[in-house]
Amino acid sequence: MKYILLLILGFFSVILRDTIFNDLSVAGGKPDFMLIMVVFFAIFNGPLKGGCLGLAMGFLEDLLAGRFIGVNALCKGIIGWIIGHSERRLYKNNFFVPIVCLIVGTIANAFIYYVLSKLIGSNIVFIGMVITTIPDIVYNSCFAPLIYAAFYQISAKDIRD
Amino acid sequence: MPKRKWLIRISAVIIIGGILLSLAVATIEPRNNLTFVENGLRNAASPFQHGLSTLSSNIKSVFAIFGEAQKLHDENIILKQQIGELNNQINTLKEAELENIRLKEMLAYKQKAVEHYDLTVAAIIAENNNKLEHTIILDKGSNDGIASNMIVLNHQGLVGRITSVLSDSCEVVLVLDREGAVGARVWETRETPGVVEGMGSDKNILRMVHMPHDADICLGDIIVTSGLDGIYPEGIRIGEVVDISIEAGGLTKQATIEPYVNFSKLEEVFILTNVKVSSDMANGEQGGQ
Repeated sequence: MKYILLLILGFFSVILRDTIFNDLSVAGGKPDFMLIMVVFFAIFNGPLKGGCLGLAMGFLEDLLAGRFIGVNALCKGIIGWIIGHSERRLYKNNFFVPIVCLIVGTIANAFIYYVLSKLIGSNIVFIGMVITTIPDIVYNSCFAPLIYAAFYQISAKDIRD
Repeated sequence: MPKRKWLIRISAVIIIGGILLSLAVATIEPRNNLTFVENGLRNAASPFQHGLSTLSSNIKSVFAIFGEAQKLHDENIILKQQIGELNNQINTLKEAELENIRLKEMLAYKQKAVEHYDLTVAAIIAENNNKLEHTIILDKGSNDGIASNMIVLNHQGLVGRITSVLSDSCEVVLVLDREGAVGARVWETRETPGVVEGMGSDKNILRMVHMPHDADICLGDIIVTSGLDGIYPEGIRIGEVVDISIEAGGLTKQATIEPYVNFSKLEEVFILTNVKVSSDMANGEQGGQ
């Protein structure tokens, strides 16, 4: 149920990104709510669940708005898996932990996307990718506290239950 | 067991990764047809995208008004300046057009009058019009061959005579002035001598006095100079009779004359420097009245 709810949120986050936040983009950057959710979910649920949610979210993004199917799925799957490995090592009450994880996740996502795109023969430009990643980091970090608070509450409730 | 679990996971990752990469390679070229899953998802997203796009553009247009305000304000200032400049240009052009009309009329008159008079064009550089005085200053003086008692007129009719001359300017007493009295007669009858003088007011009106009580004069008659005063040559149009009355005592008549010259719009005039042939220019030859 939790996964379905997250996928529905992911569905709407792609729509929001491509409509309202498309008009509010700063220097070409837009918030990647799916990535934020994958990163925070992985922080609380480990590499396997994080990776699976990343795969599912990325695949949904590919189907909904992607140019080529599979690249976002692999990117977000890998990010979820990597960040998930820090589950037991991170002090989750620290406010800066999610922001640092998200910054690392955003940079890694851009880098993996670039590598995979090159691998399958796309003519993506490295400088262009770097230029849009910087405002993406700022945008994602702005939304991080709010979304992290929601994940934190849900996780705390799961632990209590 | 953990080794087996690890192998299963690695295998799953490799298989899933391989499938996804293959999918990506297969879909790298632009596709004409989407899969039914993509179609379904995109169709489901379409109403939300449409609604949010409309909302977004509405919000954007509201904020755009504030963003545009300064730009519109600046544009407004620039446009007002442009309007001012264009109005100035229009006024200048209108001025030039009116001047052109006046000069054309004067030129036409000069060409007709050239057989009878030598005329010099002069511009008015100052005016003194009040109840007591009606004088103007012209930009021609003794250096231009101008002398006292020369007659000033335009294409419409008699304006006045020169009373004092400086090297580069001269003063003209208008016929409206009490000192600018002119010997006159009725053009139609070539009789009925009288004197046309100003009313001593700031009105643009004259009166013809000292006519016999049985003088043959009617409303609408044209009054011209008689030449009997020895200053004004005969036949120059002065004005039109608009009222006739008997003077106090009942022995003489007087007529109110509306001058042909519009003294409030005078800008250029002719100075009559020489009379070649004394001629009656009252009708037809005198301008375009």
